[in-house]
Amino acid sequence: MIPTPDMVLTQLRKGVVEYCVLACLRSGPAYGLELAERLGTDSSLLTSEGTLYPLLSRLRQQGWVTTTQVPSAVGPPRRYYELTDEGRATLETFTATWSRFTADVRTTLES
Amino acid sequence: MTATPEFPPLVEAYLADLDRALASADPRERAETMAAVREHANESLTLHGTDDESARRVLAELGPVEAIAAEATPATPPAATAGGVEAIDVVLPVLAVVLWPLAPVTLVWAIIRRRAGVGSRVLQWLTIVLSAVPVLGGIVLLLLHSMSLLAR
Repeated sequence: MIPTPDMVLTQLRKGVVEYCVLACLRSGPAYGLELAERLGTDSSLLTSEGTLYPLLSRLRQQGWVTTTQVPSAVGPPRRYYELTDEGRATLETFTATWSRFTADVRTTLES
Repeated sequence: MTATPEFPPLVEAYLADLDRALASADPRERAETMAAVREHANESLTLHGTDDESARRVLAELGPVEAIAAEATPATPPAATAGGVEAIDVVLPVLAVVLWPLAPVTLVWAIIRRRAGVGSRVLQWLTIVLSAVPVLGGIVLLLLHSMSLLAR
């Protein structure tokens, strides 16, 4: 069977998108909708915006992000997600590993 | 946190569908996802309006409930904790045979472990059967002995 681009994307997202979410929080805390926008609404990283939330729940349970309820001027309190020190260290490890991995993938694909 | 704003019926139906789709997900992840999606929907509707067209747009951005559920971690079934072989499950059937006078103890122990849903069910059943034989045999012999004493 020849996989469709969607099938390839689904496989590639696994184990990568969570670090992209951490990377989006590097610049500062964000609430859900804001974070979805930072990830890019038309980007290939998320299947849809809703898929971000189970992922965020896992990141929180892993201790890589924390959540805080902050009052909002326009509606109910917003749940802000913030990178923890552990999350920041995890992201650094991923970034270093990813650079090496992508370089190797590129070299292999282009050989 | 507990505020549950009123949503257009379309969004309420979507949220109910999502909750059902997440039924087999990890309970904490399910609760957090539901709360966060509600918040997202509320925030988006505040920005775009609460008419049907805006609601449809918000739901389209959130995506199919199946896609969200597929991203969630499945709940750990209770059976996953049972089934592992622990040393005590191996020792109990051996004790039940070698030290058969201890059979009532091994019988109760195996039943408790079986009910707690820990360890190997197969070995616990084996202990129950092996312990039940001397226990029941003992009871029968005791009854026969008592009857013979009464008959004198």
